[in-house]
Amino acid sequence: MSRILFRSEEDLEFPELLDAAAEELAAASVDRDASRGAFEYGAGISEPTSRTLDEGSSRAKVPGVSGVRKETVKESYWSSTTGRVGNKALKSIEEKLVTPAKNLLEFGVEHRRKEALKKRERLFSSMRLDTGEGSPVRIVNIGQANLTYPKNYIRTTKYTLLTFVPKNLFEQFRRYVNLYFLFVIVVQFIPGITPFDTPNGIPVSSILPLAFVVLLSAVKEAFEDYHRYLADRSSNSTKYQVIREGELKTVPSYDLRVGEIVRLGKDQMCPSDVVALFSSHEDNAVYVETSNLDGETNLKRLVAVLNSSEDGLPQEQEIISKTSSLHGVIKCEAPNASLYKFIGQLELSPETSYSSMYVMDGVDGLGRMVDGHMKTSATDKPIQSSTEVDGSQRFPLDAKNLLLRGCRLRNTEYTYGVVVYTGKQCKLMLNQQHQRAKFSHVEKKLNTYILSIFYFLLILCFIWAICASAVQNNSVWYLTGLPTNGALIFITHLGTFFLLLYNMIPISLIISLELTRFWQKCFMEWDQELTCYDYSVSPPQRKPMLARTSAINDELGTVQHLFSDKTGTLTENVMEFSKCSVGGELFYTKQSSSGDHLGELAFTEKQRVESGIYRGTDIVTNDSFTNQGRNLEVPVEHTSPIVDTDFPFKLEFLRAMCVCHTVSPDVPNQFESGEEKKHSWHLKNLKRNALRFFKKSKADKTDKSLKSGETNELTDDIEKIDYAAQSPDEVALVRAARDYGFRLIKRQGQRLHILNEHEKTEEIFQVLDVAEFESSRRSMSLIVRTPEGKIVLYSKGAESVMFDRMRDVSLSIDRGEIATSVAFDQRDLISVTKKHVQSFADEGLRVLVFGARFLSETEYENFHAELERAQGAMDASRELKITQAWELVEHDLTLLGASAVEDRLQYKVQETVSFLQQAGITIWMVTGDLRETAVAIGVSSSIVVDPHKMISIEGTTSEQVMQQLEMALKSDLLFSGGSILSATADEEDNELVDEPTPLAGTRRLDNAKGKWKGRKNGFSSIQNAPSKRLRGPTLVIDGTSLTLALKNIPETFLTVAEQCVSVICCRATPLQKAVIVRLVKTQGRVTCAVGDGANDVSMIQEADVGIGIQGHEGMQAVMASDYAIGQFYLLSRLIGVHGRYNFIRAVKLIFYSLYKNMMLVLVQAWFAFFNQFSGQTIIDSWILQFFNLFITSLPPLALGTFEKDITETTIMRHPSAYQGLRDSGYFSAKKMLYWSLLAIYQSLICFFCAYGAYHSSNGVERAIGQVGGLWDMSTMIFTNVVIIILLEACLYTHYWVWITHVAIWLSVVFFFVLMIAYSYIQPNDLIQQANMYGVVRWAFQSPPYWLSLLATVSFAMLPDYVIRFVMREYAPKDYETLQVIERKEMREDRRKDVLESATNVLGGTRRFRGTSNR
Amino acid sequence: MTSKGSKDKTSNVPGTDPGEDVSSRVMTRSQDIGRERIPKNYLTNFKQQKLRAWQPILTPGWVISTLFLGGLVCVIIGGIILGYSNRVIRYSKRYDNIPECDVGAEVAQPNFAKTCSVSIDVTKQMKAPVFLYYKLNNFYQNHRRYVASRSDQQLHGDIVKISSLKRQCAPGPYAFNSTTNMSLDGQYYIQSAYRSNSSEINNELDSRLVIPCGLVAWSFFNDTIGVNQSITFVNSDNKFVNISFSTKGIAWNSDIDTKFRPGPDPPFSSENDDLITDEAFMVWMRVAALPNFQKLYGVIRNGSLEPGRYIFNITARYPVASFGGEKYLVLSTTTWLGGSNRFLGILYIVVGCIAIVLAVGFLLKYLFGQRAMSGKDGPIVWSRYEANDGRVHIQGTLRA
Repeated sequence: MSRILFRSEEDLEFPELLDAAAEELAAASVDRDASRGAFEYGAGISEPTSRTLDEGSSRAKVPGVSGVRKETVKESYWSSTTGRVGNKALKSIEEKLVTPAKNLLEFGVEHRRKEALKKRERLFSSMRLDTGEGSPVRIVNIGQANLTYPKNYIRTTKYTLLTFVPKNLFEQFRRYVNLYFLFVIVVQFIPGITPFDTPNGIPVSSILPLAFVVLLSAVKEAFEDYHRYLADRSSNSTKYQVIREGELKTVPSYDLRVGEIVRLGKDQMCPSDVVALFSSHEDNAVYVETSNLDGETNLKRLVAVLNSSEDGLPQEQEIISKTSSLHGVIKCEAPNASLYKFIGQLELSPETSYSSMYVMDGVDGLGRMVDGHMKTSATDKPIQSSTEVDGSQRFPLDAKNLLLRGCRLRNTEYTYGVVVYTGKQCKLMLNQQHQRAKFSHVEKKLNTYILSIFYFLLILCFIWAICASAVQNNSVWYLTGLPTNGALIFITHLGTFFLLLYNMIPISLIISLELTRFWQKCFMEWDQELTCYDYSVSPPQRKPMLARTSAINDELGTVQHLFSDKTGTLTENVMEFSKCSVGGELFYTKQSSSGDHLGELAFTEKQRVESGIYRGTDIVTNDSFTNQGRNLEVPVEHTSPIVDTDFPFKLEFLRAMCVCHTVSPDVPNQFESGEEKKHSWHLKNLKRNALRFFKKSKADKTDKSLKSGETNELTDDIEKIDYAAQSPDEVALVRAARDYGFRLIKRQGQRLHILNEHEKTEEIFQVLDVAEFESSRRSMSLIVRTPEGKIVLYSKGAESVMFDRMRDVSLSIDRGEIATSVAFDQRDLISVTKKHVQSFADEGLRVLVFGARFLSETEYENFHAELERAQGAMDASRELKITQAWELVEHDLTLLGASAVEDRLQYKVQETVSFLQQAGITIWMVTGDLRETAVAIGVSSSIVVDPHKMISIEGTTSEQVMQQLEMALKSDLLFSGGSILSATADEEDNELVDEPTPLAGTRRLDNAKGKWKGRKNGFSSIQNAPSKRLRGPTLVIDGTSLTLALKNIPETFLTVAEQCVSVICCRATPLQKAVIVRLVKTQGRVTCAVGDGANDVSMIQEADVGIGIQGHEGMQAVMASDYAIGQFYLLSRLIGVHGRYNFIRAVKLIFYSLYKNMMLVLVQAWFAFFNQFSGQTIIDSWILQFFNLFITSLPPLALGTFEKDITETTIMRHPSAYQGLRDSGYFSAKKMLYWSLLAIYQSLICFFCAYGAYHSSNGVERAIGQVGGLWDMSTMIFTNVVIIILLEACLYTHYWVWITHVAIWLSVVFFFVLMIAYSYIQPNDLIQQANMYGVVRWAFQSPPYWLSLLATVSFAMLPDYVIRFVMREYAPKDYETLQVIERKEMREDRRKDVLESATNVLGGTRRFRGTSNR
Repeated sequence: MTSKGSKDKTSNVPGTDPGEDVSSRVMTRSQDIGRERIPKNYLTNFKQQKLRAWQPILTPGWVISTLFLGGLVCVIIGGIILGYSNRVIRYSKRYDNIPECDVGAEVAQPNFAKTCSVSIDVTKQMKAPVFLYYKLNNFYQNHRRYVASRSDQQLHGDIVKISSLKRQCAPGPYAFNSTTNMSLDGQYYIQSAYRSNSSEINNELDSRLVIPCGLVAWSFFNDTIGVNQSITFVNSDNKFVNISFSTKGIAWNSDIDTKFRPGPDPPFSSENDDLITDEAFMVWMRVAALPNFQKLYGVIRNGSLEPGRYIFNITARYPVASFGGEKYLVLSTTTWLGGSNRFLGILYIVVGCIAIVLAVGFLLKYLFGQRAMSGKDGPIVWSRYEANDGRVHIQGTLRA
């Protein structure tokens, strides 16, 4: 999407283009309301420009914003625009655009139109040739291989064989950690500096670990790259057929060139971006599956530009000969990444006239050329027509004509097309951006901790080096040859101490973090309870949780704001027609009455007329609006009459439902799979039958009786028809229309065949123009030529848009057979319908209002000309122009009625939402829906906790928004919400219901606040009883206001938002969603976005954690996400359980790793006091490496993999524990400081106890009088360090599974085994200084070694042991309290189990005893 | 939205009846299916993170008892250690400040030496074995460059390349000029015991290897204590009795057996081998951890030392004045603990006392205090409730 915008910005850099656009638009708007159009255009165009000036907002979508403004500000628009923007550059652009537009108004329409057209042509031809990248227009000669563009060769590998080593090394050493350790190694090469054993001057003991790490990730990279290479090779070598020298030749994919004509067979993958010229289908359709592009598996219908033959099915040979004689040029945009946009022009030179080929099938009153495609996006024109300029034919091209690389041809025998983009320039390749690498907040914090440790390290080095230069006396005779210069000593010792202490930043931490994250990822994916099954398919489809990254596992445990999409995420996106309001009457369907809201309303049984093709209507008249609760039973005979007599629009409403859509009827799946022939045969059969039937039914219309046999056959065929469309709403509507007697049976070309079961006729509507449903317009319109030859505009859309378009005085209806002419005041009807619509929205239903209008031929002519010109536009303003063209006709509509479609909630949404809210997560429901609909869904999904407490913010300027926010801040609703939790249980729930005023709630919350203050000592947020619920206001805000608020007054807004339990953001465009997330993120909050559709992709990518739902809307969200789950309700487990565990595991691992290394290294620092700060290591360099590699590597891994603070059951029972964990500073700098102080204390104890013991005995540690030495003391100290570190792991571990036991006890074994083994190694070329030879054996035999171990360990552990106990006992954290609760509950349960089994056993014995007694 | 509507909603709140809203085609019964699919083997329990676990909590009972018992054990051990430490009899005498023994600040000439006698008055009977130590103060044997300046390979009897020796023994001497008998940097005069007997290895340098090389070996403590490994005891009758001591068994067994070995003939001379396999040299080569250190010189294995005066004849060669060093003679007995180790005893008693005091404090707090979490006035209130399965459960809630 952003690419589209960038594109438009680029375009704006060409002033001529802008001028031309302005003129065109001015001309376009003249027809209707000249001045208004010009103003609106000016205003509209100012939007993208203002965005170019404002970097931050450049992603905000134009249509959404301008659409909203148009509604609210209307005619006073111009002044407010200038006032608001007030920017020099903008003004100049406005002048450029608007002034010519104004001037132009004085000229004739025709003249202007021609001028504009000419100017565009001129522009187009004057543009530079596209020589590759960057220039705006690419010119492709059809049939001629263009050698200036790259071949269709693809390389997605990161490395080649040659570049792998240097490039990979470069990549790896760009990481600071690796660089750090590389630096360490380099420093060690300087002679005389290193404190470690460097055999032959090579610091092997430091090189090995780094080499291991680097090699490991290099192998991983190479492996991944090799797989990419294999994929590339297979796609490059795939064979394709290309027309060369007049005949088909088979060439590999990489040999394709721009301009060549390629033939694609059935099920072939498209090798590059190809403009489809011919298709095997008679209506030029090309069906493709685009699962490679967007993950959607439904077929898409594209259109070949040229008709392949005049009559009947085309012959391939004919096409080949035609194409080889085809001369022409395709002008199109330079390669860009937007998948859904393509602007181009096919220009056939005069010598190859295709006018004869380009003839429409079917009737076209205007004699225009119409191809068959209907499924158009709003930016595309629905009708492809050519214009003739200078004898050459020109066809506009758009995304409908472009087969993208990666899509697969389906249900189409073959298609021929011109290659326009090749290789890397394909849209698919341009879209392949590597996902933004996300870093968790834990990792960011870790980086700051590491940085501060690094500073601490540097400071130590400096102080120690200064001491060295002051203290060291190298002039004594036994140290001859050493530097005596103080400055030199300082510099060399700086290096020495750095090397001695560098391990304070552990390389092992990085490795173990990666490893544990891998395990965490596995655990999440293995979890059966995170797996859900889709029973809608058979066999049930298993949807396991997918962790697409493991880098941000721990982020799941710290989520503060959850952004949720509505449709498909909270709701099922299974739409069901539920109610409608026609002519002021409410109608219910059977299904809807079983829902909550209509529970008290009675309903009638579904009525079905078994004979004939009548389907009994499910519509039940219900005058519920006037006397609620009463329900009119409708007798069977009355079924059809209610539809066509009471109110003339009932039929018309159904007809509108049946006509006004972009749904295409589809035969069921069983025919598509495999048996293509049968399928096509069946289709033909169906068609024939239908035609036969209709002829008959028309003839027999009067007697209404049908031959039952034939009817049944037909019904079978027709009954199988199902509908497919991108929007499920539309399908629901069309299905409803079918059930109530208007059956759409066929869409052939531009014609809709509708079976009117009420009148038993086939009605054929000729679709003239379509404006697809679009979020900015919030409506769709369709112009048809009725069977009677009238031109009717059907329009449906959101009520806010539609009611404004209604004519309010009177209406007349004149439709063929009914031929009733009614004129009456529509205002009453509108007001009644509005009330109905309001009630629909309150129930969380999706409302669409239907309107219709007759167009006169001239009116239509004008409109159509306008539309055509708008569609011909080659620049970014096309969309806008089209919208404006439609506005010419979309007014003074007759209200037909309103439909309500129910959007069902997903499984367990309420529970999940409630869980998350209690977990302290602010839930944002971000949706494009209406405020009312959004709130309704919010209420039903319990996102809105208390409907009485809603803060509504709606403004178009930042001032307005600010004012409203300040009002909200002053109101009572907020801040009392600081104690969102109600302290006690159910009585208060009743209280709230009894006292609906917000005041009552506030008063009670104040009490709760007092309690909050009262128990300040930590266990604040624990909630136990499931009946307890959150209380708090909900903020309702629309997308525009939200963007304004977040941009201008983010702090104020977030203060308000965080006082609320939830935020509902309605009317947000997909890009606004991302903007909102980003703005909340920049305020330092941890954001999580969950969504299922393509429109959530940007939001998911933007959020700290993106969660994709594997729903029915394709795989795009999943592909963009970090974690993918099957349904919304799994979120509570994903975040609450796994997020929590991942978080505490990562934190414990990090703290422990940092602590243990700091502890070890600081001992070295203390020893410096006793060796003249010479930097002598107290621990042998090899043992030092063993330390992280073997001796203490397992406990942190066990901590990071298996640790749990509380069990899953407890987590699910006490959701608020989540919040406690997040906010209680579990990973705070304070904790880090505690661990550092602990390390300092323990290292001091470790060193000085050994020192004391050694000093006190003068090194005489055995009865045989022999003296230990440096390495003897070293062993003593190192043993103490290791044992203390392992004991600390025991104290830090709460959840001991057998693996944890093994890890810790095995470490002890490792330690002793390694030490003993090492002490047997005699000096050799690798270990030249056998410092430890014999030492460990000797130490193990000396009693003080063991005695000092016990004393030192006790002394070192004592404070931590006591502090942990005191903190737990007198200031418990939530999880600590919960541990106590959990333990008692578990014991109770176990006791019960024992008791139960005991009574069972006793039961047996009693009987036995009973007999023995007798 | 009317209040009635809201009431409807409230009844739909979590926990009440979750099953009722399931009307979807996408049924989710993963839990049931999960249970069916989880066979009871450890791997799946592992995968489902359902391994049985021990979840220890620092409860007051546990903490107080461990502190108390641990403290008690520590105090007892401390007492025992102190008791044994007091049994060690140790006498020491500084002798570098005796004028006859003062050899000046620096190493003078190769064979320069002074003789003197030092006497120690023993007041308590010392039972054999009695150990004779020398003690150096303010000598940094643990200086980084000093510690590293040795070649364990060479001491092990291996032939080491001169380039490697240079790296290992720097900045100490590693090779010498055979004409001047000075080390290559001209700093040291290489005594005969340190000279190799082959010029073939490095004839291009016209130099020979220093064996053993490096600062540690080169600064070998070379004062001789006693005459012919005997000292003189002046008994109560003022008679002089010679008491001999052994210089064998003063080095570690591992050093004697493996670490120090005579080398092969070409570079090593017999003098080298004698030096390397000398136990006193091995003792010296085992560098001390702290700047004040004592090293074993000899052992009196037979008989006991009666109270009286003991005279040591010392041939002093080792200069310590330049770095403010001190030389001592030490006569000491040992226990099973080795030398006297009061520090350890005191440490144990201190740790033990702290633990006991804490234990008592916590106990008092627990018994009489207000807010102990698990105590009767703690924040948790326990309540009973009946679950769906009819069983009575105990549930913890928080005291407000």
